[in-house]
Amino acid sequence: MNKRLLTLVLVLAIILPVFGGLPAAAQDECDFVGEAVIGVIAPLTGDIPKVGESTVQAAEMAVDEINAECGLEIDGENYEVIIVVEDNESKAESSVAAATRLIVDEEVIAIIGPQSSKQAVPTGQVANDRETPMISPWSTNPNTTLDRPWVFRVAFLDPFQGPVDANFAKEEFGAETAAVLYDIASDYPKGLAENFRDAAEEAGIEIVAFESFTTGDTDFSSQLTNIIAAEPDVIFTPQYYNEVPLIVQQARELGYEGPIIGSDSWGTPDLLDLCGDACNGLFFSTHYAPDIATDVAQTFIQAYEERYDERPDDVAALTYDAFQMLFTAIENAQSLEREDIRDALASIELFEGVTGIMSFDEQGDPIKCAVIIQIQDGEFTYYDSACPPGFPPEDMGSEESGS
Amino acid sequence: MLSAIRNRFSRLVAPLRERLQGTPLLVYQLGILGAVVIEQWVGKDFARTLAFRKIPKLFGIVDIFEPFSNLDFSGILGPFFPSPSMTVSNPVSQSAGAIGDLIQTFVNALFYQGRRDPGFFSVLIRVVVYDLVIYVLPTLIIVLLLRGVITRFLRTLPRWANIGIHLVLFYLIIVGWGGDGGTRELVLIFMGINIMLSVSLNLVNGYMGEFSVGHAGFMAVGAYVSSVITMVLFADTRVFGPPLLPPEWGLPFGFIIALIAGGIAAAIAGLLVAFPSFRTRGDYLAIVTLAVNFIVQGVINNLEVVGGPRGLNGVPLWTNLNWTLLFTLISLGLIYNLVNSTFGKGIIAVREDEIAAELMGVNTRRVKLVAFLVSSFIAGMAGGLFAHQLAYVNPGVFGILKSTEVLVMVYLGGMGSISGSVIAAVIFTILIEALRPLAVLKWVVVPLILILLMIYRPQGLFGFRELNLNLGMSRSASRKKIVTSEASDAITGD
Repeated sequence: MNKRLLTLVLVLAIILPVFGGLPAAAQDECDFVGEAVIGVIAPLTGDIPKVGESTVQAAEMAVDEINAECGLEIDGENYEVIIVVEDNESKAESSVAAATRLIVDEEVIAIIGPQSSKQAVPTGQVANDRETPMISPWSTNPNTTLDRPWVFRVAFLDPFQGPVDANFAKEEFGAETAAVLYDIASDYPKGLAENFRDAAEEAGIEIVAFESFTTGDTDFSSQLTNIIAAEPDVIFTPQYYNEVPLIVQQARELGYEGPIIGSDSWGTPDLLDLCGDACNGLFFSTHYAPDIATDVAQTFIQAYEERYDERPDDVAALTYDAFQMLFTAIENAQSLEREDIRDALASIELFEGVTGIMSFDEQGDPIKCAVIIQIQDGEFTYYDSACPPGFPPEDMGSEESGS
Repeated sequence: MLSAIRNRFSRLVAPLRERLQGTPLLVYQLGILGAVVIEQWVGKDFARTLAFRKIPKLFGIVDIFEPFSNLDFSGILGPFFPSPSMTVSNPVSQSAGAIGDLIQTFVNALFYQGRRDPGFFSVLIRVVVYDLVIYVLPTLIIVLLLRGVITRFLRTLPRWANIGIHLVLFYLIIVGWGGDGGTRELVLIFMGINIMLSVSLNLVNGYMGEFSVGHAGFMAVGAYVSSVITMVLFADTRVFGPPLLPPEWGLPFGFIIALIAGGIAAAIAGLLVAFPSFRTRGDYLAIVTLAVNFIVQGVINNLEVVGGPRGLNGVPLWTNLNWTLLFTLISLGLIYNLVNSTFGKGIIAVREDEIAAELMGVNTRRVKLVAFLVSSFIAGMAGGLFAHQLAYVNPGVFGILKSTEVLVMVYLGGMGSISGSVIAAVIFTILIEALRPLAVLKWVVVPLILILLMIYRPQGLFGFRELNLNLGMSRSASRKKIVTSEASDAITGD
């Protein structure tokens, strides 16, 4: 028995590695001389898993596309792009730990992510301190990139988005009074709520209620009761797709009939399913609208729908743009050194991505247009655009743009 | 079948074990140092030869679990509780399909799942080969070659030189193996922090016999206080503006002062537990400690100065291997001397019977006060190191989950055992790191280990006992130590 067992083990020991297959060297037609490892931090578990899913899908698509064209070409040699995905559980602390791990352990040349400002603000600090380029696709809070030369972003900023929403409330609904309901424990809602409040007051809208809750709350009735008692013309709630349906439904149950407007965090398709009819007709501001797509966007949307059988949301589009920006920077720099990539990223001036044309200011923040989307019969429908003054510039087209 | 393998294996290693009997620790240290040097020298090339992309992480423990990172269990129960976005017509068949997929993924994970992802067996065999060639064989060879010489040499050394030489070799091994600024250093730093936490909690839970479940609260106080001090004094941050003192002063003095100040602040928070402990004990005191944990979290959550629930950003990245090592050793020394002093016998006496201890003349109030102060002081310093490692603190980190992690380490190692706590912290840190590829599943495996431990070995790895290190000292030099350990055995009744 023992002998038989030993023989069996020995035979397995010899055969298994053969079947198990040692990872063979790349046998593609491309002659890869090395690898460019890029870290991705996404909320795969936690409050907003759909955001994580979109991030990874867009990232994999971007990487497969560039590898199909023989990866990144540096000095005539091809480097295969590899992504290492880390889950941040939608928590700031896990995100910081993930960034440390990617930088120190995986030795990534750059990080794409995290998405929410709640994680992007502290993680940006770590990337900056450890001198690794980081591009947050979705974060709109100014603090993510402020005074951090190593941190970049693709989304517009809240000091821009806040006024867009406030002006929209004024023009569309003729609002005189407004109420805000936001999560005080998260950087993005808190920052945007404050920006909206300031912009609204400037536009002549009185903020009659400024109510907050903390991440994880699901019952908003006491805040909503206060808000409704103040009789606002419009409610602004810059929350994520898991919270918006609860807020809208509870507001309606408590007898609020007026408009509720939101921000780019609404734009995940799961919102439509979770909210159902209650959200019909509501408006929010976001980064791009699939139904008025440019050529670049059209190509992306088609490829994405073919591959994943779903419409790309703004997270997917922005993540894809972040990758294109990074690839452009690496090819401009002709280097895989973190410092060269950072310099090249900082020197990109105009970039045409899926989410539109953007130019970059000295903080590394893009200047770009926002769109207003209306939820109509279970779909996000383009309603209006809002651009910063004097943008986009007339002489577009000949500049460096994404592949 | 398992026992057959075990028998065969033990028969195989029996002669080796016989030869190694009584080998002093120093010989093993030299052997491991040799292995570390060999790894520095040829490790990378050898790993490449074995088709690893880089040197296997943590002796390959991490790599072994990596193939299972694709397992997705959500499909099994998911169809029965669909979210509004899902349309489920037949949950049973969907669930069955998901189970089928899971089995397929699992089988693939065992064997082969793509060009970049070798299967479990392939990784396992290569990891074993790597560890044998790089670590085990060189260590064994050096041990067998040197054991006679070193054993004789050690007998001639006085006690201080003996301990000194062990410490130096220990430091060389740690720095040689882990001072790469990469994963290993990261893991070693977390290990050091975990050792500080578990040893300090063991003072209260193990030696004094109370049940504190709020250790993370003290860690939070230490983390925040030391971070605020270093940020205000030495760092240019968005929260507190430009530094008050020249940043060059920050290392080493500023950091030491900040960590100790964090420890002191945590000790003051420890009073919140110490005073109630005069009047209540057992389960009721456990509730008090839980409450203190929540109070600390609640206070920080509402302090807008330090960012409230959004956390504190821009803590200087000062913690490194040397600092962690230094503070871990200081903490171990502090606790070791405390529990082996006369005063420490008082702590143990309180555990055995508080009233009897009081009657025998132990000042139980003072004993409890000191135990809680020392325990929370060390937890506070650990928190400071933690904050300066992550460069970010957030009240969410120091919740009940963190406290539970520390409890797991203490009970894994065994109550009233310093070496048990150290080894448990080491094992736990490696385990958490190794199970990381399993994502959420990690939080099934770790509690499961705890349950099994409580059923089959409730006293932990080293319950009320210490690991006996063979320092190879001559009889006269080591007599003192034997006497003290016998005395402690007599008191713990072991």
